[in-house]
Amino acid sequence: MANSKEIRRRIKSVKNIGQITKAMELVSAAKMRKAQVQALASRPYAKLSSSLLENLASTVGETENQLFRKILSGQNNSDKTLMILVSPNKGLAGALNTNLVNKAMELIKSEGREKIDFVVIGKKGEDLVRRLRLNIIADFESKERDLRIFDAKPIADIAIEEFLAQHYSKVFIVYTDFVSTLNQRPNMLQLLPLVKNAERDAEEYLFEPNADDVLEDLIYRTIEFAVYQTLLEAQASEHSARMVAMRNANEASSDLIDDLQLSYNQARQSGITRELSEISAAKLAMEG
Amino acid sequence: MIHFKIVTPERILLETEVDSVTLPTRLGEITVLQNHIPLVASLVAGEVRYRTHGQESFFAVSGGFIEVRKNHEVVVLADTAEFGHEIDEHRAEEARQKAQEIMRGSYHDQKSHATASAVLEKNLARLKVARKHRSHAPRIDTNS
Repeated sequence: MANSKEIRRRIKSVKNIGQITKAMELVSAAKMRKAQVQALASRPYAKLSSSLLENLASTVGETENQLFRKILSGQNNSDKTLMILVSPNKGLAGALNTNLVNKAMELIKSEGREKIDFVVIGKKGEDLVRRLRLNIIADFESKERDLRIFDAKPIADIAIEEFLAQHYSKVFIVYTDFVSTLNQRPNMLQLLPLVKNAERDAEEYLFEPNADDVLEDLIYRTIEFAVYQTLLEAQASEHSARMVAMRNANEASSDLIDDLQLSYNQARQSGITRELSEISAAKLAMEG
Repeated sequence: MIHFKIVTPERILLETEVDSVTLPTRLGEITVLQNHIPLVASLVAGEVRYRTHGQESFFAVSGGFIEVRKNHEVVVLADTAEFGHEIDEHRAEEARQKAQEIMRGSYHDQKSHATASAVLEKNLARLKVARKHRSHAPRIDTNS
């Protein structure tokens, strides 16, 4: 049995770690609440705007609009793929990063290493891509909070620009989808070319002021918003995962303290018992 | 009846059955009644009015998109949307003045001018709706 002094030191250090994880849990919980509210609030808008574009895609397939046609069709001479990888800056978020990395690796394997380039958001994704020695064409800071649509704009612009320039035939965005506080799912979304909604009946839409203006606005706005929504989902996931991870760490630390306390008490008790028996043995020897 | 839904990035402002809805577009105001043909239009800053059983209500929007669907559905995707009682008139006035100053001030690039002009449009619409709300509100009180 370890001596009581050493056990006492371990209890102290576990307590300190417990305090840190407790503080991190509280901080993450506050960030998590905000991020969750933001992510959930903008979901209807994201869904409606992309469904509007999908509806238009199925109806005005033979449109005169050049941009829309390019965005829709796979008519593209490139055989390369662009992956936008949305990741956190920091770890300590349970299995979140591992799951995200696995999802990204899946796509890298299926597309082939040489045929994929990256736009990375956040340090963890950047680390991964650098470790794999793959090509990064743009690198964005992952914002911890207060995400705005402006934060998504440059990312969306790069994706659209590169796609229109026919550098890439497909653009995917890999991120962590927020399901609930306890559940986050790594997800892959095809950003470009647009996915058509095949189920809808063809409908003729009237455009005002004209198809070109409306479509152009709508395409940029919708893709921007789709990127923005994935950033929000990733942020809500990150803070939720970290909060849960820190809560687990907290529980583990109090379990550990209980265990250590028990062995400390046992060590102390056995020490006392030993001393007592030594004293009584000595006494007996002297009397005898 | 038309199923009218207005969504912003922050929230679903309204989802209700209406008789008619009037929306500001780039070519002027349009009013959508039942059996309107499918339409997609750009929404500009201004006032949206809708009528249910003869009762008219209104709110302010900045830019966005309008989708009129075949099955009597009108979906508005607005950048921002607020009811009159939600608008802080004082702050809207400040924002308007600031935008005007920027536009008047030393010559800026095209982008910041366009941004200021959009802010101005938006706040003019907000002010209009806020004032209209204020002037309407007492009358409803005396009626009841």
